[in-house]
Amino acid sequence: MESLSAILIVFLPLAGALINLLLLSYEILAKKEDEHLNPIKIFSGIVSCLAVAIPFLLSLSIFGKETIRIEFFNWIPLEGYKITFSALFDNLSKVSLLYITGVSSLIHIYSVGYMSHDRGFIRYFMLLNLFVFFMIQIVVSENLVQIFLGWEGVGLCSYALIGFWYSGYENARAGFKAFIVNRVGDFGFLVGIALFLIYTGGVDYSLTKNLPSDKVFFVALALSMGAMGKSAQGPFWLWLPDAMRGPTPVSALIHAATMVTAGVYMVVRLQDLFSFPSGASDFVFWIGTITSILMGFFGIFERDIKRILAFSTLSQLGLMFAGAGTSFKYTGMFHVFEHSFFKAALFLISGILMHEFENETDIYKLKEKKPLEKGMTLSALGFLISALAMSGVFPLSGYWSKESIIQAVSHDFGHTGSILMLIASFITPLYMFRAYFIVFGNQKFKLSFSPSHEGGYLMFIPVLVLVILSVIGGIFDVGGWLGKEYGYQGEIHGGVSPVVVHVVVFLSVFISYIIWGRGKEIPESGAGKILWRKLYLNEIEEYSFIGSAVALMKLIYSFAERIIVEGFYLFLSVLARVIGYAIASAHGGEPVRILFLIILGITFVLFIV
Amino acid sequence: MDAVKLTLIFPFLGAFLSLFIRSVYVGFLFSLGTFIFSLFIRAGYSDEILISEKIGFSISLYVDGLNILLIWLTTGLFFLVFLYAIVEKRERKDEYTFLFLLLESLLLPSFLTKNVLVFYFFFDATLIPMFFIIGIWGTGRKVYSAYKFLLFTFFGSVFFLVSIIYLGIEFYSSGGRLSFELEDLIKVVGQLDFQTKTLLFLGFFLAFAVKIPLIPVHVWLPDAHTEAPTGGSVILAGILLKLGSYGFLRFALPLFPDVVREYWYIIAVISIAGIILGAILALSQEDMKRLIAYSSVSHMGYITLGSVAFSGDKITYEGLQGAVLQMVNHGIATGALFFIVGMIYERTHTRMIRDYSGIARKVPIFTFFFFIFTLSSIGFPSTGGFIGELLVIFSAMRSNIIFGVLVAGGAILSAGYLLYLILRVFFGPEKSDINEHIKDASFVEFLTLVPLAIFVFIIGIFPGYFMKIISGGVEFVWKHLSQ
Repeated sequence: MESLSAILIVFLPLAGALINLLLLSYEILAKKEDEHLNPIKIFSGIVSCLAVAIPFLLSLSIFGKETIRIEFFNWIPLEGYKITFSALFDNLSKVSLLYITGVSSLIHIYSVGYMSHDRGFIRYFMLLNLFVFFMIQIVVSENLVQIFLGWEGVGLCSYALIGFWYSGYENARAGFKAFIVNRVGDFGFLVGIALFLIYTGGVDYSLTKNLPSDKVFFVALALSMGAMGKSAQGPFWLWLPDAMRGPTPVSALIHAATMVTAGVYMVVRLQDLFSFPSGASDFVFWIGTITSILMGFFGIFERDIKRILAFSTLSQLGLMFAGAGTSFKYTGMFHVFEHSFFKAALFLISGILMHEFENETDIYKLKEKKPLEKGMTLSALGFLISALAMSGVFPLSGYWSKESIIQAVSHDFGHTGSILMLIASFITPLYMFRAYFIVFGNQKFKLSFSPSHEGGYLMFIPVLVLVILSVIGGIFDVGGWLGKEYGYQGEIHGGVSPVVVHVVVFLSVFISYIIWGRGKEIPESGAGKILWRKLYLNEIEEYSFIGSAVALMKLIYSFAERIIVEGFYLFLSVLARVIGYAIASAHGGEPVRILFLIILGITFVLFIV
Repeated sequence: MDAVKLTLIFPFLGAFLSLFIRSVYVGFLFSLGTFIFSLFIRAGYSDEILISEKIGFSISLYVDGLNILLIWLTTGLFFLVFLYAIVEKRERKDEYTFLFLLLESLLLPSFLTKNVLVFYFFFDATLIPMFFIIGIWGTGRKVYSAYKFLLFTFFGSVFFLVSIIYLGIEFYSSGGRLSFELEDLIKVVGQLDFQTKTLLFLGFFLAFAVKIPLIPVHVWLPDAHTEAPTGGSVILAGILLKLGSYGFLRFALPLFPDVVREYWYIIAVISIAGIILGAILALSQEDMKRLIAYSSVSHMGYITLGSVAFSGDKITYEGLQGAVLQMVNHGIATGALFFIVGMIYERTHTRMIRDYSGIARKVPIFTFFFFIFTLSSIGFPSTGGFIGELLVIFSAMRSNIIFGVLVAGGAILSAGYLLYLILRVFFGPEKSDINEHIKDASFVEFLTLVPLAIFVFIIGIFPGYFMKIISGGVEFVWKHLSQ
């Protein structure tokens, strides 16, 4: 029974994707593409939702039971070792499955409403189902190659979904950029896998203990490059803000709640490799902390609501990385879990706003379009609650996980760690409440409920569920479960008091009210411009670095290939012709020339031999 | 008459018949027949055809894991080329049919024999039909490209022939019998001194290096691939290049194990340079076919690298497996990419990337297939390309960490050029002048691409079956190299 559940969890989303592929082929071949909701679309929507909702229910049913392990088949049989296609359901993967399938189900339902009038409805759901399939591969994998399958797979779906409206060149380009930046990270991942193989003689996680201790660092470093790429940490942050060009539910699911957290998952899963204290673990911690603070700071200087949320995702991912870089790795995973609720809620609410305001995403222009309807009270309230949860206010969901990270960091990194975490805690409310005040500030709240203004029931109910989960998320003591799984006992001591954290958070909310509460803004000119352009980091990386690489490549082509290599052969052919004509004119006649060339050739060959 | 001999004779019969019945359907039927016969071929087949009892000269036919997949690939791709030729807009289809059937009947024996001289004969004989295919049905500078193709390949194989003759004479003087069979020649090579062996190996290597092609003798390839007609490019990339890498595995490695062991790293460095430079050159192309042609240079580098990656003084098993598998993957994926570009070219008469934009909405089927084959080309897991690349990366890492890192880096670049092509051609705003002419795949074109797409995933998801077949052939090379 349990193994049947396991099989269904792994393969139902794939089945959903394949059914959608058939529907899509039918739609294209029969030329039935339509902007209106039609029976094929409805069928596709129902199938897709079921393909994710059933795995969610099954994940609930196997939760808390004993570990299940299924080997489906021997994927790549090799000499002396094999790479299996299998599924491991231990506590870590069960917890991950819960939030992946749970949030996915909600977002699938929301998407039916959000995308109902899009021509690419079926393509959208095919990709979304496929994404869930690959995401599940990441969490149930037992070896580095199968996780790489999921890893590249989610990257592919993300690429296709960012560029979903491919008629806009910028959308397609953003997808391309995401894929390429991720591939650079995956280069490290591939190197890591190959290094792991040559040192341990296999690719299963369980072989980690065979790694020679002096090699652990390099393998971990290479693999962490993959993790950084997927979680957009460090220099890889570039792709995530641009990824917001995709449909908003995609941003919620892939670029906030699930895929981007895969990097954290990997570090937690391979915790023997990233064990604390070690260089690799420190590396992860520092990359995460720096990214968290810097990206939170950048989030202040952004007008696009989705990009603000993207920067907040980057910042929160940084926190998860910081947690995964301590000796209490499960804290990173804990935050992944709680974060998925409020971040998905925030994105989905911004999706509702976009629906209401003709796809406007600029936070200043939202209100100019038309005044906020009184019916949007619940969206406003949901946004407020989610923002508070993200800031880590007691007793909302974010408090528990953030608190555990702060404690873990101050335990392992002392005062330096505590101060850095307080800075990070200070920045979060700053950008979140800036967005809140500008979008929803100066509104007279009349508590009233009007689903038509909240996107309709299909879109509204998932948001409601996510907001409720953001409030009560603390009852899922993921940190505790995982802590027990990995043998951590008791409380972490010696950290910053939660009271101090709350003082910092509310101070930050207050400051943002003072600055932005009246709808004012830091000017985009002068010194402010550098900040609005994000210190020109994107331009530096994209144009000077990649631009010069491309220029170099063009140079290699036009110079090395066309002039040196081809020129060499051209020279040879001209030489042969000149000699030939010289001889021919000396001895008169074509036959002699040919004869001579034959003799020349034979001598040349004999000479070499 | 067994399956192997039927497979050999059938396309030849077709070629002969096509001189009298001037229709493309002759090609279709005979290539289909050949394909069906070839499916009955099993690894482990071995037979000899006696040519002359007096001088003891015979030709061996031999099938093992090294060549069986390539035979299936050959017969399969030829069948698809003819299937597409039925609807293709092309002049003088009857002669086209004849030349392609002739080409197939010349290609198959070269994969099937273990006789070095016979291999050489067919290796070079394939140049003739290909020369005409490019020269007659090509585009642009077709005659120039055809000559370039002929001269380069022929240059390499001259030295190959010299090496073969030398070995044959050595065997004759020691054994008193004329033979060019691989097993016989291996015995001879054992008695030679190292320097001679190195020189002889160089003769083999030059021929294969031009054919594969390795840098810097690759310059014939972009021109030939670009200017050849669709079917010509498919066969060139899909199969003709494999003659070089197959010959290298089948003949050069077993004949000269100690030379390879001594100098493998030079070949490895050339291969890696090919992987990276090929990718860089592909990135700077403006012509779709040229871009895919350069991607071949890059991908063939994996095959040669896998073939020679030594770890310590033992050749890596994964590398050999990966090399053979990658030959098949490259044949499928690149062949299919050439098919699609050819089909689109037929509609628009331009290959320049800048002339296109946003055709995805008009041609969703082509877009879908192009994407599938791109995935295999860039080594996306669950496609065949991934398995091959992964094995080669493993073997490279085993032999030298720097090699491994560089090869993995090459795998990243491949995503760059192909997805950049997709971005510029298929995505973006629609261009009215192009999009008015373009129509999506017809039923026959769809049928041409479907089997290739299916095999991309079959190899990627169930590589075990193929690797089991390959192992038999890899054992053959492995045995000779680990003595």
